[in-house]
Amino acid sequence: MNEELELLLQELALAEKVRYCYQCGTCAGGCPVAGAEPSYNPRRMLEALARGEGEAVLAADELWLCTLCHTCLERCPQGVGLSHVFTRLKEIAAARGHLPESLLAELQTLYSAGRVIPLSGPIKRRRAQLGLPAVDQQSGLADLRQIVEATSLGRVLAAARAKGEEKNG
Amino acid sequence: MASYALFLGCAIPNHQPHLELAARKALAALTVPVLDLVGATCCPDPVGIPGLSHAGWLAIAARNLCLAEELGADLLTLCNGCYETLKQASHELEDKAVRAAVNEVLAPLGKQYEGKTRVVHLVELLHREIGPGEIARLVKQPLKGLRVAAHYGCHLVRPSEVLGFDDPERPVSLDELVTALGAVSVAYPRKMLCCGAGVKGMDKEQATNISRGIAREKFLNVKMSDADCLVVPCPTCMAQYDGNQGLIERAYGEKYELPVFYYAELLCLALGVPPADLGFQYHRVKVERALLKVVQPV
Repeated sequence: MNEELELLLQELALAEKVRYCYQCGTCAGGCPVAGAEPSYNPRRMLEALARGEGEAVLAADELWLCTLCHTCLERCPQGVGLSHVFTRLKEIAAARGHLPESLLAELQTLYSAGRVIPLSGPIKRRRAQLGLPAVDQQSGLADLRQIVEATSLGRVLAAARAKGEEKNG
Repeated sequence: MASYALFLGCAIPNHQPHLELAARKALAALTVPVLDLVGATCCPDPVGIPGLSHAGWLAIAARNLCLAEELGADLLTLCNGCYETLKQASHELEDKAVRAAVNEVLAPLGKQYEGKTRVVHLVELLHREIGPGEIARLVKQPLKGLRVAAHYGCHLVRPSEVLGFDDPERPVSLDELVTALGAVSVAYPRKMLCCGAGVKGMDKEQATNISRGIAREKFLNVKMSDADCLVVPCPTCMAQYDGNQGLIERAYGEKYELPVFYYAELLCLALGVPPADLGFQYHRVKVERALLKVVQPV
């Protein structure tokens, strides 16, 4: 684990800009997820953070619905950088083991296959039918696993494994 | 022209290889020098992975940037997601202290990133480095009369401060590239709406419903414009609009029947590549009706 790297990246985080929010609601107005699901409201999430209710935001399922389209980041008149703030919050929640099953599965696939979408037999055949070259999926895999284990990705993976064993054991 | 290390990613080679076929054929037709990038991994996914670990995401991306740097080539992506991850990462790695810390993680792998890799999206290469004028000059089979709704996707243009390519709200590049092929780029409402594929969510059913609702709004808006098809520059948007269109039709009891093309496919057709040499049989929504408008039946 590289603590220095973790700390540097914490410094890069934009969470302190949250206090610039003046609750205009531009973020919620342009948000594709809020348009489809009224319970999701980025303005309210910012309000909760400003009130010191960060724990509630971290625990809320809604945190994970952001598609990272960055519309809020582009439009925010105060430059709060919401989509990056939400990503940072997700990271904190994930470190506590609060993350969607689908995302955990994605990380497990990344670790086992080196890609979030692995190559299946039918697609391998389709590539050959289309005359495409075989893709080398192996030569970077050991490096990728080493990076996962050297960073906090490894901690998320290990915590999930422990949780799985607890459930099965 | 610089040579380009081709970064295939996951969604194209391992899920929709017909898009890779079109991209490779288009690059060959335009005589763009392309190198294969041996040892590349997932970019990794810009929506999911940074939310688990920014440090891990950045180091994996940095390793991929190293591979292109070692070749002395620019890195060419065919996917908006790879573009966002690799360009955002290269931006963060401009900070010397961050780069030094990431290089410590890469050192045991025998890799060091010096910050030299330039990340370019296929649309950026075509628009900025080749240019719509030159492409129009090379067109052999103009797509005359084809009404195309251009969908940019999010991570081709946002965050604009980092990607620095086209306007984040009113971009023009893809429209100009459509027009260069002799087709008509139609106007339609909420053009910059996300495709919705990135919705993850704790509750899988809720996430699926939101994702489909967002895509449905795109279909309804595009249908209003009387477009013959959608064109996308990204395999994730492609999977959402083409692969999931039937599911969304059934979920809402509606019919869209909207063919979806990856831009390189339309480019190939206009450059004279026979449709039978492309992988249209792997599209979920039949493209024949749109193709018949512009290509002579075989």
